[in-house]
This record gives sequence, C-alpha cells and structure tokens, in this order.
Amino acid sequence: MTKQDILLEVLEQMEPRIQAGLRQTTYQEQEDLKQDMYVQIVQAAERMEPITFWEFKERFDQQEQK
Amino acid sequence: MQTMSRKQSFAQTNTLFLQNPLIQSFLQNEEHESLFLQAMESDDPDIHRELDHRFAVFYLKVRLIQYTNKVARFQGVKFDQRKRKQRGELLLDHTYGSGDREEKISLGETLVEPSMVEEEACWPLQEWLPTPRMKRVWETFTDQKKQILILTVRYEWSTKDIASYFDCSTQNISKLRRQLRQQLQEAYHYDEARYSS
Repeated sequence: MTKQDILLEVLEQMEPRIQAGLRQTTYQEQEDLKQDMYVQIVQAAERMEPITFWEFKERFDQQEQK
Repeated sequence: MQTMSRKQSFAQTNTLFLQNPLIQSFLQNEEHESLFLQAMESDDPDIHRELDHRFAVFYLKVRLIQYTNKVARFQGVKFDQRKRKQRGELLLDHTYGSGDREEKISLGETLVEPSMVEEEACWPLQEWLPTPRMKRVWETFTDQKKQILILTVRYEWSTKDIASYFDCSTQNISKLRRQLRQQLQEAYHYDEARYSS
C-alpha cells in the first residue's frame, strides 16, 4: 500500500468531516476552502515519514527514559 | 517453553509500551495481533518486515486522520478570517457613487427601510475592518458618520441617496465619505507598515 493509496483512503473516510468543516464559510466559497484543505492535507502527507513498529518502540523507550 | 518465556519476558519488560493506546488499537486487529505474536516467537525477517509495514501503514493513517480532522476544524476559521479581511479591503477601496449608475441600487430599490438606518450604527462593520487601528478609528466616528459608511459599503447607497436621507447636500456627503475613507486608509497603512517592519 503506497502513501498515495493511504491518502486517498483517508480522504474518502474523512469526507463527511471535511464537508462539516466547509460549513464554516459561505456556500460560494466552500469550493475554494475545500481546495485549500486538500492542499494542506496532501502537503502534510508528503512530509510524513512512515514509522515502523520497532522504530516506534525505540522512540517510545527513549521518551520513557527522559 | 523458550517461546513462552520470550513473549512473557517482552510483556513484562514492556508493560507501558503494550498499554499505549496506539499499540492497543493496532493490536485490536486480529491479523496484527497474530503477526505481533509470530514476531515475538520468531526471528524470521519476513515476519518482522510485515509487522513493520502493517504498523507503518496503520500509524500513517492515524496521523493523517488526526491532521485532516484538525484541518477541517481550523482551516475554515482561518479561511473565513482571510476572506473577511480581503472583503474589508476591497469594500473600502471601492469607488462609490461613480461608474454606471444603472448598476447602483437606488434608495427606493433597497430592502432597507429608512427607520432601520438609525439602528445601522450598531451593525458590526468594525468586525470586518482588517486592522486594530482601523477599529479604533471607527470607534471615534459619530453615529451619523458610521451610518454613512455602513450605507455606503453594506447597501451601496449613492451619495445622492444618502444626502436625500440626511437632508443635506451631496457635496457634504461626498466630502464626509472622502474623509472617512482617508482616515481608515491611513489607519490601514499605519498598521501595515508597523506589522511588516
């Protein structure tokens, strides 16, 4: 499963939440806001590095030690 | 026996890790749990690789869902504030009372009843003003000046209509509008220079 597949799945799953968020602006501007939201989410997804199980555990242990 | 002790040993030394809500949520899936148990029992790199991959996908989804939720919640507010600011700038920069008169809405055509005009001084135009200094300048205006400005930017009344309503000359209204606009523009540029430096 690629990052793009994951992103598409999340966007589909979160569609009702996005629609609810769009109601914060006027109907005429909802399409612009939707584009804005998608850009933000896609950019964030590009920045996110996958973290494996054992990497997560290592980070968890490091935090516990602090 | 050795397998049991490895699992038990891991569980004993990693109690907090296994209690982590994210790990618990990951292990709620039967396939994930089975893979995790297999990884505990075996050193097979394929099993560990599969566990790593499944977790990476799961954790990425969780982070993306959290981020999308945050964007859906706050981006709308930010977007609306930005648009309001733009609208405020556009309205104040608009030249009223000129251009095609046919496109203007005349007093008789507006939905505003004259009796409503006194109440208009309370209409929160200051909320649409993009900078703090503009809001302060707005507060110094008299009710009549506020009404003139609101009728101009909200209802696009022409100078003639406003003059007719206040029973004064169009020159007077035109001069007042120019002054008000100038005062607000100066406040805007003052804040712009202040915040950009």
